[in-house]
Amino acid sequence: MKQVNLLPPEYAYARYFRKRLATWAAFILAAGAMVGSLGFNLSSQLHKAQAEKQRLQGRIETLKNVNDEIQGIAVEKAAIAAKLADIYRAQRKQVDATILYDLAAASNDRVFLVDVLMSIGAPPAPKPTPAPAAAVAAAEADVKPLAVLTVRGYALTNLDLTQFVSGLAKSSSLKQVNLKYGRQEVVMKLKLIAFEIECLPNIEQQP
Amino acid sequence: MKPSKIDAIGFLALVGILAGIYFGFIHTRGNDLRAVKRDVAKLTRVVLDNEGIENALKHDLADLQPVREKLSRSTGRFVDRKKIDDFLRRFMANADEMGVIVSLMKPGDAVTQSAFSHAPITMQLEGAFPGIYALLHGLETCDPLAVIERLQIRNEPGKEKCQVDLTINLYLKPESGA
Repeated sequence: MKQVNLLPPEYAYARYFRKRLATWAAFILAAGAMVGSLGFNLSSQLHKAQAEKQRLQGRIETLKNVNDEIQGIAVEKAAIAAKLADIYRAQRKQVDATILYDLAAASNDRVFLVDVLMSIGAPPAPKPTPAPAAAVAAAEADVKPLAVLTVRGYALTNLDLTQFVSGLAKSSSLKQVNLKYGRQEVVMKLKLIAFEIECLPNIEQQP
Repeated sequence: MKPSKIDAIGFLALVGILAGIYFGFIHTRGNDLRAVKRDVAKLTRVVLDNEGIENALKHDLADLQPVREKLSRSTGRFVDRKKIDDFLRRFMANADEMGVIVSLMKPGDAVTQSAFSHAPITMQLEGAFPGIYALLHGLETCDPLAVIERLQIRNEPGKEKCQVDLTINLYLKPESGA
């Protein structure tokens, strides 16, 4: 049986045109959806990454501030250590009363002191502080001013002088006791042994 | 339905538009994303490297406090600049009590050496040894912090009293916080 197409050609063309239009629309929509979802996905990832970057930058800024604060503390510690070293240096110079006590203890009524001179020289130049933490401890240890004690006087006999010198040498507040001279002199019509002793204060032993 | 010439042109145009969108937007965004991710990785490493720093700060602050207190206690022994006269009056009163005569008392100008200032005071005393000893002992053991810089005790034969030349350094409180 022969089929005869009775549809008018305009109608057939219109149907053909609609189909093509639908195919194109589907194709464009699919491509648009793909590109859109890809773009949206990328944008959201980028947004998240930028937010994370911003958060990390904020954190690093905080850490930098913390680091600056730590540096500031280190500087303050070093400054305090230097000040404490000065104070300890001054405190360790407070030895005169103890030395006078030991001088009095070593002498007796057969030894007569006429001149006791104690002079504390300039302290040694402070060494550069190695680290703030150690500096505070070092400050307590490294403070030894230079000081010399000179004692002049008279003893009745050489034995009295020897006893006096050995008494000084035994004293915990003095060291390097050195008899500079001991010679016979006449004082107030008496033959006495004039002497001069030089020694160093034992500053390490002081409290 | 055979593709026509218009379909081919349309397809090519669409491919062109898609390529334009890819290179003009998606590719650039991708590059941006990679760059930001690289930065994030770098920053994360920096953050992880410094993770313990806040604890270190806490530790340092805890360490600093006792050191500050130590300094505050030590400088607490210094004399106030405006109260040097009080100290001198007290010293004279003590000397009087010990039977020691203060024949000269000459305060000098404040000297700043390293972190602190001190005022040198030159004195001449006269008295028996026990009194002088007690006076110097009190000077060295009591506040304010005074350091004997030079001490000379002379005792002439036949005389009971000693002559003393004394120079002390009186440590002064800093004018604006230690």
